[in-house]
Amino acid sequence: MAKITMDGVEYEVSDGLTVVQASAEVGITVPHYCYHPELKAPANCRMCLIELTPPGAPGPIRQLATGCSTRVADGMVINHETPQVKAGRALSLEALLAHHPLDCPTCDQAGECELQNFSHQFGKGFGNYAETKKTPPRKELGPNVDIVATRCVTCTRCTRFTEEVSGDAVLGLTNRGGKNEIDIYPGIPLDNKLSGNVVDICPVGALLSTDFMYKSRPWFLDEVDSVCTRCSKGCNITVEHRDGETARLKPRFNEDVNGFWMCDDGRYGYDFVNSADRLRMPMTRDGDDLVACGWSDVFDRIAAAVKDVGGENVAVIASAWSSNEELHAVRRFATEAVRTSLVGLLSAAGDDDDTVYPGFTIEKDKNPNRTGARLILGEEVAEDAAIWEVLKRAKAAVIFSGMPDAELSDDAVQALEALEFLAVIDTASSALTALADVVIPGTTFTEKDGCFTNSQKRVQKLNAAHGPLGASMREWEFVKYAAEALGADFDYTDDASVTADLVASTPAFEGVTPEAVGERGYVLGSGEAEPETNTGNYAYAKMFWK
Amino acid sequence: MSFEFTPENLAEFEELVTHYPEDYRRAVTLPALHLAQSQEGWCSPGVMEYIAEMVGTSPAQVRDVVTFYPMFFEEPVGKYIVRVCHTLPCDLCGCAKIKEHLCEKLGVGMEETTADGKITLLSTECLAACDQAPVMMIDDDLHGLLTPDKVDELIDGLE
Amino acid sequence: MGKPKELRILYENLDVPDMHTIEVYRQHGGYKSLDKLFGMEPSDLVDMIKASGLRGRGGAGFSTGMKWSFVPKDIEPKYLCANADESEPGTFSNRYVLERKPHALIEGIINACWTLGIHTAYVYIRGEFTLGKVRLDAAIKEAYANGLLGDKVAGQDFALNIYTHAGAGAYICGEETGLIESLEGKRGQPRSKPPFPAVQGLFQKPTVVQNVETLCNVPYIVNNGVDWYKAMGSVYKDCPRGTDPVNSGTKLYCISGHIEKPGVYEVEMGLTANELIELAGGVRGGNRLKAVIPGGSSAPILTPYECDVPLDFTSLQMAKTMMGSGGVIVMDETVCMAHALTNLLDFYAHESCGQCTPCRNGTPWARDISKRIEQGLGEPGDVDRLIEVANNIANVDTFTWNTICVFGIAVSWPAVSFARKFRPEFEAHIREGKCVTLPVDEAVTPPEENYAWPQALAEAAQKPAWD
Repeated sequence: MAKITMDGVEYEVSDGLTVVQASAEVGITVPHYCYHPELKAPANCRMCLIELTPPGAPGPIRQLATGCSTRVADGMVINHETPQVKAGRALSLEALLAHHPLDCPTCDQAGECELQNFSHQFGKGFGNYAETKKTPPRKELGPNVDIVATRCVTCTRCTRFTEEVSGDAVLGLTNRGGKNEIDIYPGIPLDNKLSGNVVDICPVGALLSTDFMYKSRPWFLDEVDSVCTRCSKGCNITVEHRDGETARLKPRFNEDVNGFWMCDDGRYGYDFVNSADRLRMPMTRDGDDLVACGWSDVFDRIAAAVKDVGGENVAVIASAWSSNEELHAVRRFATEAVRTSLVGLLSAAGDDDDTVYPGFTIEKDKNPNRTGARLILGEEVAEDAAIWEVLKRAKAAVIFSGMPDAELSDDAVQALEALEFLAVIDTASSALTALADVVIPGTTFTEKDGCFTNSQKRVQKLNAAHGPLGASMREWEFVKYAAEALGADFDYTDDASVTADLVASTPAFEGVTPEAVGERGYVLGSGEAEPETNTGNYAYAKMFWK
Repeated sequence: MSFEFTPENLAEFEELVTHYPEDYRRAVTLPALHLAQSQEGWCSPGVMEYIAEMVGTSPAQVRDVVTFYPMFFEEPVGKYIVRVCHTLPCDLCGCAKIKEHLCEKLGVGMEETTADGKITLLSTECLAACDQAPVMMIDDDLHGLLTPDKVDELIDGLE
Repeated sequence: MGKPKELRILYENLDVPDMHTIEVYRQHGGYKSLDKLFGMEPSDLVDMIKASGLRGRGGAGFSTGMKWSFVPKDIEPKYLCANADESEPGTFSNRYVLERKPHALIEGIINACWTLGIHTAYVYIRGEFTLGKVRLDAAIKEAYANGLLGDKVAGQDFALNIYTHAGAGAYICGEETGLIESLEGKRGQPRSKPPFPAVQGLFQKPTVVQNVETLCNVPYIVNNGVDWYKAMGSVYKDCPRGTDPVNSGTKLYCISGHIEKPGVYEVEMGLTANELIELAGGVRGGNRLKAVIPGGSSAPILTPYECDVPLDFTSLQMAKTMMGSGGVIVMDETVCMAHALTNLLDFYAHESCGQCTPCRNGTPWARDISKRIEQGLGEPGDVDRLIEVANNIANVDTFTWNTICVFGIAVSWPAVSFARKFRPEFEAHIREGKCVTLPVDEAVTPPEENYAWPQALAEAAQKPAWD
C-alpha cells in the first residue's frame, strides 16, 4: 500500500497504481482519453493533468504532470483542483472540441461519451474556436467497425490496442500534425476477432459498432451482469436489453478471466437470442408438422414413453450450454426419475486450438459449461460421437440442446430416427427439433439466473434480463414437473434452491454460495472466498468502464 | 505492383540491419525506406508491404511512417524532384518570385508534376542554407542565391 | 571582458581544400585530442566539461557536463546520438561542419563516448543534407580504415561504432526524444519526460543526445584545457536563481535575411545583436532595421530598441528570449510582420507531430488567425485572440506548458512576441482590412506600452515555484 495525500486528504492506495487508478480507488475522477490501464500510456490527450509534489520535495513541480504516467509512491502529494489544473483541463477540452462536429443528436455515443461527460464536469462551457473545422472522411475500417473521423480525438487507444492486444497492428495513425487520421492500410481491414473492443475503448463517437449503430440510445437500455456463452473462457459481460430484446453485449471487467475485453464471436454472436425462430410454446408432432400443445400433454407423453419402453431404455442427454443448476436437475432426472444409466453430454464442435492473441486468448472449447457438466455428470460421461452410441442402446430419449446452429452428423440422424420417442428441449427450431416427437421451448443465457463453470473451474453467475419467452419455462422447472409425472419429487422453488441442492450433493461444488460467487465468480476448491473489494482496476472499471 | 530489393540493395539492407540491436529490427525502417524509394522512385504499396515484411512490422505501421515524413512519397513522382524552400529567411530573400517563376516556366502548381513526368515541384520547409537564400534542391543538389535566370539555366539543363 | 572577438576555432580551416578528408584534417591538427583523451579518467573528463561551462548548442543551452553526469555508469549498453537534424529556420552552421569538416564531429564523438563509456553512436542527419551525409559516411569509412573506429579505437581497449541514420523531413526529429523515436523506426513523436533519455532513451537504454556543434567543442577543451575555454565568452553576476550565468566559448552565429553578408560567424559569446549585424555588413542596402529573431525562429523576436542585448544564453534568457540555435534572422523596414508571423506559424503547423491536444489543435488555430489578419480578414480582438490561443498551447509568461514537449513553447514564443511587440502593425491590418507595412517607428509597440511582457513575468515570479 502507498500513503499519498490527494487534495489535502491522506489516503492509502494499492501499490504500483497510476494516479488515475489510485484516484478512482478513492472516488476521485481524473478525466482522461488516451490512458487505459491495459495499454501503454502515451500521455497525449493532456486531460489527466495533476499538480505533483514528489516524495520529499519542498513544493510542487512547476509543470503539471500527467496522472496516467505517474505511479504513486509513499509521501507523494497530488492536487486535482488547483487553478492551474482546472485551467489546463479546460484548455485541453476546448482544443479537443475545436474540430469536433458536436453532432450529439445523431451520434451513437451520446449518453456514454467521455467528451460529453468530462466537458460537463471539467470544461469551460463555451469555446472560442472560430476558424474552419476539419472534415476527414468517414471510413469503413472492417466488417464490425466504422470510423466517423470528424469526431476522432486521436487518442490512439485503438492503434495501441491493435499493436499490443491483438498484435496485428492493423490500425495506424497517418499523416502528421493537425492532419493526422486513424486509418487501416488499404486492403488490410480491421477484421481480427477482437475488433469490437476498439469501439468500447474509443472515448468518443468516432469508432462505431456496425452491429449497434442506430439501434438504441444507451439510456433506454437496461443492463444485467452475465457470462458469455461462446467458449469456455466465460468472459464476464453485460447484457443490455430493451423491451425484452437484447440490444448489445459488452465486456465486464474481471481481472482473472477476461480483463477488459471480449472477442467478436461472443460480442456479436447473440442473434440466436432474438431470433425469429425462438420457440415459445411446447409442441407435439402431427405427421410432418409440429403443432402447439399444452404442458400437460408434454408431461403425459414423456411419462407414457418412459413407462412404455422402461426407464433403463431411455437416454437422457444433457447440454454443455446449460447452467450448473439445470445440469444438476437433469442428472437427478436421469438417475431418480427416469432411472437410467444411459446419459450423455451434447456439446458444440470446437476448434483445434485456442486462438491466441498477445493480450487475449479465445478458448477452443466452444461451450460455456462443459466443465460444469463434467463435474456434475462425471468426467466419463459420453460425449461427441459416443453419444450416438448411447442412443443406439436406447429406445427413447430426452435431449437438452440450446446451442445455436448445431449440426447433426449422419450417424447422429440415424441414431435419432431409430428412436421410438424423442423429446427435445431447445431454444429455436433446429435439426434436433425437426426429428422430435415433443419439443419443449428452453431459455437462452439472457433468461437464466444460474451459473456457468468456466475452464478455470470458476463458477460465475448469469442474471436473467427478462423471464422465459412466451409459454416457455426454465429448464429446472421443466425437469421438476417431468420428474413429478414420473413419480419423483424434486423440492425446487427457484434457481437458488437448485444451487443449494447441487452444493449439498456434489463435493466438487463445496463453498459455492451467492456471496462467494459474487460478481467475479468463485473458483471451485479455493476454500474460503475473499470479499470482493473495489481496488486497482476494479475501481477504475467501476468509475470509467461502463 | 509488388516490390523487391535488387540483389545489391538487398545486400545493403542486410548490412544496415547490423547497425541496430537484433531485437530492434524496426529501427532499420527509415534507412530501408530511403533505399527502397531510391530504387522505386516512390513508396508504393508494394514497397510498403515489402518493407513491412523485411522489418517485421505491419503495412499499417510502415504507412504511418511514410505519411509522417515528407521525404517519403505516397504517390509516383517525376524524374526530378525540385524542392523550393519557402520558410522565413528564404521568403525574406525573394523565394516567392522564384516559386512564381518556376510555376510559370513548368506550367504546374506547387506539389504537382509536369505533364511529361519530368519534374515534380515541391514547396519545402527550411533547408538549412539560409545564407544562400533563396535556395532550392534538385534531387540531391542544393542551389542557392537563385535568380530567375539561374533557375532557367538549372531547369533547362535537366535531361 | 573586452569586446568579443571573432575567432575561428570550430570553423578553423573550414575553407582548406579537401578538409573533409582524414589526411588534410590530420595535417591541420585533427585527432590530436586522442593523444590526451585516453590518458584521462572518464570521471575527470566529465568534471572538466562541467567546469568549462560548455552549454548545449542545439537550442536548450543546458550544461553539457551536468547532462553527462546524469548518465548511469553501470548500465550497458549506452548510446550517443549526435543531433545533425538541423531544421530550426535560420540555422545552417552544422551543415558546413558535416560537408567540409566531418572529421571534427567524429573526433568530438570519440571524445564524448570515451568519457561516457559508450560504444555505439548514431548520427541522426536530416534527409536533405545529402552532401553532408555523403561526406560524413566517407569520413567514417576513413576513420575505420585508420583504426580510429571499430574494436580498438586508436589502439586502445575501447570499441566504438558510429552509424549514420538519415531523417526524412521532420523538424520534430530534432527534439531529443523525437529523434530517438525516429531512430527506432517510428513516427518522430516525442516522449513524455520523465523518464529522461539519460536514464531510458534509445532502445530503452541510457542515451545522450547532443548537438553537432556541442560535440565539436569537446576536443578543443580536451586539447587546450578549461581555463583556455573559460577565457572566451561571458560570465554574469547577480542572476536570478535558476539562471546559468556562464557562457563559455564561441558560438557559431548564423545570420540571414535582410543582411549584406549572410553566413556563419564564429564569435566569442557576448557580442550584441547590433554588433553581429555590423560584423555581417549591416542591414542590406542600408535599410532600417525592423526586427531581429536572435536564436532561430522559435526565439521571441527583438525590436530594434532591444538589439543591444548580448547574444549569450544568460542575457537572452533575461531578455525573455533565447539563444536557441543561434540562427539570427534580420528583417528590414520592408517586412510586414503579420506576413512574417504567418510564414513561421505555417512552418510550425506543418511540423507539429500531432500527438498532444494543445499543440495539434492550437498551432493551426494560431496560424489561421495570423493568416486572416495578414490577408486583411482580421476581426477586432483578433490580436488578443491570437495571443490567448498561443498562450494556451504553452504559456510564455509563466513558462509552463501542458504539451508533451517544448514544441509548444516554440510555437507560442514567436506568436506572442510578434503580436505583442508589433501590435500596431497587426491592428493596422485589422483596421484597414488589408495587408499593411508600417514604418519601423509606427510598427513597433512603444517600449513604455509593452507592459504585458514585464508585468506578467513579475506575477509569475511571485508564484511558489520549485524548479
